[in-house]
Amino acid sequence: MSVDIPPVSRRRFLVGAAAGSTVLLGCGETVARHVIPWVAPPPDAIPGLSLFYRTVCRECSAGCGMTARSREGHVVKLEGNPEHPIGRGALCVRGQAAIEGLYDPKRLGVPSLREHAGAASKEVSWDAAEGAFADALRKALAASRPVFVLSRPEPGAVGTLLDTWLAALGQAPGQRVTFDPLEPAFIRAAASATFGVATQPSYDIAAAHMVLSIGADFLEDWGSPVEHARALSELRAKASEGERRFVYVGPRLSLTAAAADEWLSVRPGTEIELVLALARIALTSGGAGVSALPAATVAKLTQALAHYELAGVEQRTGLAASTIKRLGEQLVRARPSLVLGPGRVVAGQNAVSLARAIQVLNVLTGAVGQTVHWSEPAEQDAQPSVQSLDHLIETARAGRIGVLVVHHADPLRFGAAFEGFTELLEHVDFVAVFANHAEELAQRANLVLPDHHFLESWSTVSPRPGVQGIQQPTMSPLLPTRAAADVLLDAARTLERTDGLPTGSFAEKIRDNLTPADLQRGGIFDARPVHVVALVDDPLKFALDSASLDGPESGLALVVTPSLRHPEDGRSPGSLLSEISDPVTGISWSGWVELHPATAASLGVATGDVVRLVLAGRQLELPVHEHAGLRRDIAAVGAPFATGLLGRGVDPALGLLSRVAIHKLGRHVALAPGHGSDRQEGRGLALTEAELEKQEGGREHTHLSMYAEHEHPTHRWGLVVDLDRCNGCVACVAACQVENNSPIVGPKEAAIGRTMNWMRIERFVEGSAEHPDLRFVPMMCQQCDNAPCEGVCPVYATYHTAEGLNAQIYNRCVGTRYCENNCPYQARRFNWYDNPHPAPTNLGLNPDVSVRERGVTEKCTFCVQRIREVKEQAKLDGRQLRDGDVTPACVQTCPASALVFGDLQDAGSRVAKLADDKRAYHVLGHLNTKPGVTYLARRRRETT
Amino acid sequence: MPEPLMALYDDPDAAANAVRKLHARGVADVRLTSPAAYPVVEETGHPLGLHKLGWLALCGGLLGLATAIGLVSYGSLAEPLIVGGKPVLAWPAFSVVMFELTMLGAGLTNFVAVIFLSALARRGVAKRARLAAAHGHIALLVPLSQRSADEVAQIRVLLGDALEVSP
Amino acid sequence: MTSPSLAATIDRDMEASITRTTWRFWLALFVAAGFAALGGWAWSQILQVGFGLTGLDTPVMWGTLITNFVFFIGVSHAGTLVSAILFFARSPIRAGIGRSAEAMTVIAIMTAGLFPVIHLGRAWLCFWLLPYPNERQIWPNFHSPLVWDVFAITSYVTISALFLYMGLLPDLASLGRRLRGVRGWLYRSLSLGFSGTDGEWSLYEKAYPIFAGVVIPLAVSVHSVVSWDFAMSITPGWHSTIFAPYFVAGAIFSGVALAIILLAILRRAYNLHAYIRESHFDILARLMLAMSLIMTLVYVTEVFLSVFHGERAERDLYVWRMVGSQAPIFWSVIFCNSIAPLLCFSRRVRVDLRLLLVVAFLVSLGMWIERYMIVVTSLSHGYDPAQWGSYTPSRYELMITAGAFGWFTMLFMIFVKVFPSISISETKQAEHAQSSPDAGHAQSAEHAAIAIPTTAGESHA
Repeated sequence: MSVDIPPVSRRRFLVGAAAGSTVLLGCGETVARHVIPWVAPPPDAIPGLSLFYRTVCRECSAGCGMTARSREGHVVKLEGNPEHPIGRGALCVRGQAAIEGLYDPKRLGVPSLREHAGAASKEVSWDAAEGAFADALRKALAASRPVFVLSRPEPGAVGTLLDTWLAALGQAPGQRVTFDPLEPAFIRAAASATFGVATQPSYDIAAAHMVLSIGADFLEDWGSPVEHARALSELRAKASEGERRFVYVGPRLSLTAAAADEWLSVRPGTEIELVLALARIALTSGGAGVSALPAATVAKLTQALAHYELAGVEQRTGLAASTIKRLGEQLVRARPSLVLGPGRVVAGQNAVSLARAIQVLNVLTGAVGQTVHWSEPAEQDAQPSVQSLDHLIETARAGRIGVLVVHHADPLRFGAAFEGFTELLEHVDFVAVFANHAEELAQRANLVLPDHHFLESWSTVSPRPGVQGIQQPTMSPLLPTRAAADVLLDAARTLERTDGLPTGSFAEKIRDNLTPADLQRGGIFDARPVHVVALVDDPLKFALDSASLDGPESGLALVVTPSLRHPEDGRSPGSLLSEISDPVTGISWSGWVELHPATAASLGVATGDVVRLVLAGRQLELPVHEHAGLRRDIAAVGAPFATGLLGRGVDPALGLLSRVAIHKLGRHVALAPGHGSDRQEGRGLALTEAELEKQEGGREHTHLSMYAEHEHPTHRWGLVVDLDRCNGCVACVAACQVENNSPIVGPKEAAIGRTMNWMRIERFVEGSAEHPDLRFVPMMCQQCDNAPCEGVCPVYATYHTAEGLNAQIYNRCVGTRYCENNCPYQARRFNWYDNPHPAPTNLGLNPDVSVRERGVTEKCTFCVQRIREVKEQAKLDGRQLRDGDVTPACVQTCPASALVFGDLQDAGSRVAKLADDKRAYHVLGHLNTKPGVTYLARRRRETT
Repeated sequence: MPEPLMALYDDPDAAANAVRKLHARGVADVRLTSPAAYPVVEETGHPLGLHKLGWLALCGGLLGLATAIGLVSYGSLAEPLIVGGKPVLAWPAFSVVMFELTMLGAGLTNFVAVIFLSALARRGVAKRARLAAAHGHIALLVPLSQRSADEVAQIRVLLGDALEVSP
Repeated sequence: MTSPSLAATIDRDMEASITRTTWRFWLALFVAAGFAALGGWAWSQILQVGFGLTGLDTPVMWGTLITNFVFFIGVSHAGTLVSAILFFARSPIRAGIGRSAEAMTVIAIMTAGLFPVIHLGRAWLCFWLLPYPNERQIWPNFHSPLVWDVFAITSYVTISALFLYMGLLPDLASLGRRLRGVRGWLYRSLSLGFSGTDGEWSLYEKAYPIFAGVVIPLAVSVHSVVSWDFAMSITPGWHSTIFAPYFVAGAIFSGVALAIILLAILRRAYNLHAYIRESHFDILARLMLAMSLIMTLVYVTEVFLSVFHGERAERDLYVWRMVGSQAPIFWSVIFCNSIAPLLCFSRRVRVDLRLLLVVAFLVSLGMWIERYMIVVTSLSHGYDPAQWGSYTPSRYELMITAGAFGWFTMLFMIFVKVFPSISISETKQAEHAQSSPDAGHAQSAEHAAIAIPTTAGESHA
């Protein structure tokens, strides 16, 4: 039944769950009308038990599979879909936080209409709104003024519908504009130049023996973070079976760079020199791909690359010739190897040429076809966004546009980058916006039509050929919204222009083509159709110059860095994402500009000092954060905060902009968290294998104890954290907060360290000034056998359960906070205030976890509610628990599968085996707390 | 029954001399009241089982100890929760509570004992003598019942250096 | 032979101190009460809004409030303890200072006792710390030092109060018989019929040693227990076996300092120079000096142990305390508690009240800061460097602190107004003992004084 807890595995359980969900959806709209729990529930909806629905995450364009857990008709938790090839059961931090958008009190529910230009827009009924929309269209068609559709990338049913709808209205295909500002168009452009295929390649990171990333921060954005994180983690796991290396070349020690074995950087803009030098090595010293090339091409390449001998390149890039040589040889030796890039942080004016150079290098090393795959062009990503937006603008200038239908897109969020769009709005008779929030564009629109949240809508999403994820409603609409697709269909029907359009509702149309099995699976997944590509005759016939950086010589190169915590399309992140601190800098809520400590010193500023960045007249004020992992000649700003610096026509996807001047303002702000040390101070929290061996007494701490060991009659729950796999992506933190109803405290409280998250990613900057080594340690309650927190509680509010959990009884806690003083891991949190959950956010609370009152202490419980649920189900099924049945929220969502949970007493369990690994150690084990959490030291990584 | 003879003194030594003289003359049943614990208060050698006090305090202490032991063991076993990997009955930890309650018991008993015994001790002391003490005088009391007139006369002589002798 | 005169004057002076009230007294009382009210208001805000109003944050979960708790418990020590020791030393000065010292003890505990409740996140549930029978069979956790506190402090306050009360009885009795009106009635009823008969006096002679014998170990245990609130944890800077003696010594130290201040004020206010003499202050000053030397020894030992400690966190903490951002705190403690009291080596300082008061004030301040240092700096520099934090008291905590001192002053003023602040009977007795050579163990005040810290033990035996 849909409420089953995995009989065999989570996978089969979810299949069952989805089966239930289809039954529910079979009853369709009627059920879906009710937001409150049913008076007469459908047969499979048992109050107190969960229903699971499979759908697709729309927070970014990666399109990971999602499983929504629903209780009493409300989604309470989002998890990955183990059967979906993208994500494979994991979600990133944004996916985890998506539920916040669903219950966002500021979400639009009612359409609003501006009668005539200049009039105030006011709320209207759906009939009025749709009437107005239809009229506008009719006028436009009558006046034969074009109708344009501006939408976010919609690779799937909605996209197709938009096309057919435009066609039905007799509009040209070019009038549907896809707006995907951060999509690295230059890679597609390069591909069409190098191979004549204008598509995004897909990469097989796990298969490569040597991965070289040219500024590609693929753990943060660059396509599909979750997929890449998993792949990288698989690569790491293979380290035991022969050499696997990952080298990152880029100006900044980013999350991705921190996960690399080696972080190198070259003079900003000269990356292409390095790539070509490597290509030359590959060409000369027998790269795997060279033999397959026609002699003519080889000759041309040899000639083109002749200029890139090591000495010159060293002199121009500032990277030691020996290093370049080593990299080149490693690339050639490793079969297969993989060069990724260019990433945003190295994408300057020469982005396309850099991309082409990298593609050529991949051909020479034989990576193409092995680890790099091109697929058939998919129709919807035929045109790069910026270009087509320009087309839209030109049309508007030429003559008026009748109706502009905007579907979840807002160029205005990107500051000056699309200011042409602002004036374009003057030339449009009627702007209709489908949106969830009243953001910039919606405020200027004539008509705002609130769409369902993606967790309430039907669609299909195929981020790449061969993958068609099904997006199905996970709960009935919370607000009186209407599906955009249905509104468009109605309009078309009113105008009687319905050729090619479905007759029924959009939902029906999609459901008709799907079997229950598809819904259970969450999509239709075929093998990836591989498209063999061949190098064009003369692949390097173009300007090979480095990116030139204009602006004052004195200034620093501005590098715009990607952020995991911020939506790519410029939407403002929810409070959850804002409060979870950025893993690289530890900053939450505010924006910042990163400078190398030395650079900061020379500018006379320190962390927290506010500076003004000036770029071509535009200026931006941000507090400084000193980051040792940064080139001295750059200033790095997170993409979400840099929009103010984007100039007209600057592609927001580019990250390497011209030089900025930086002026000290003399103001100072406290960047959360305001304190703590960046270094471990020899406490041995985040260890590498080498350090672990060096530790006196090794990892074994033998202690004399007055007391006997604990008896754990049934289970002893334990967690293993593999620091070699963990990349600090903070998805677990979000998962924990959503699962356990942890409140958001806001910037002021967060700044003084009063965040309520039970789990945190601690960051430490080890290593030398030249080779900083960024380490992450997921830190949560260690569920100690000898828990220091327990003995000191005067009222037994915390104690040790028979299953080895360190239980916290919120109702009993009187708030002495002694336990928090006495926890060496600082894993406990105190409720400083009452934390309200204003409607409708309260609907998203997990009913299995109590919402804590002001004045009580709370902490990680290994998701005891999940343990109980599974145990009870197992009891009903009359079976024993099996390894892997129980997965706490953090473990479930970890894209790198760095977290393993299970019963330490079950010798066969994965967790028990890993806990005996030679890399295993306990954080602060010498305190004899006997933790239930074991850490696996990071494997040796030489940072040469 | 006639009122006892009361002699008032301000100088404790004088009072002490008087008491000694009376004792020498075989007048044993002298009582006195005093504003302070001058040595003289010991002179009359008031008979009362004072040695009991210490024992009472000891018993009180033991009672407290017993209460403590009962409390901690019952309290811990009523809900036998494991905390900090220590046994449910952790006597080293409990010893503190046991000590405190022992001391509390001893102190309380001692106080109560004093209050009750003083009530006994002050029986049969004339009100005016108490008043005199309150006003800072030492008052000797010599009962006159079963005493012949000349005995009384001699006693009056012995109390010669008193500030005032009444009646 | 001045005895009759003095015996008479003590009655008069004490009656005066109770019955005659100047406007200065009312003003002072009003101010003190005002501060107490302010503190109460601040707490009410915390109760309504939440503990977020304090400056506390991870990892510093205890701050000014606990500092006050430890400080006032410390203050409470000098009183009963010193008075009991003086009793065994048969020191005549006890007559002069014993009463107010004992009163100080009881009132200090009444102040300190507030803080464990105030600093609870859910103060309205404070009764859960008490062992009361309940249907759910949930009892306090007797493993927890906080529960030890509950027992230790309740026992200590009870016994101290009784000790004080017992000493009061004779005075209440005599006053009750002399005064008219409500006061007379009040004192008479409070005196439980005490009449000053020979029998009662000799009972007292027997009961007092027992009481004193109970109070001394109790007092020592109480501050040991308070120290274990810290020492029983594993937090670096707290987890140390030296804490019990360290806190007891510190307690007596701060207590004596505050006693000096209060006695000086009392002496001035009621013009009691005849009963509270230079010699008394001289003795207290010597006691303070001795304690200061002990404290210095403790500081040195503690630093030595920690800096050569195997545990890295412990080592780092102490080094950081001495040279890090919190160094001013550490060094001001050293100055106030170890250096300033050295002045007491000179007799001039000991008998010149103005100088002595300066020292005593510095010591009181220093001891408060020391408690703050122990509580806050240890917490802010724990095992996990990523969680190191800082703490500054919020204005609410400062208001509550001011309120605590106001409350303490107010209660003390009320006490000396309602009850004789010097034991009438004992003064008479002591004064007689000195004047008459033949009387028992006559000693000059000076002589007794020198005997105090050293011979207390023997005279007990």
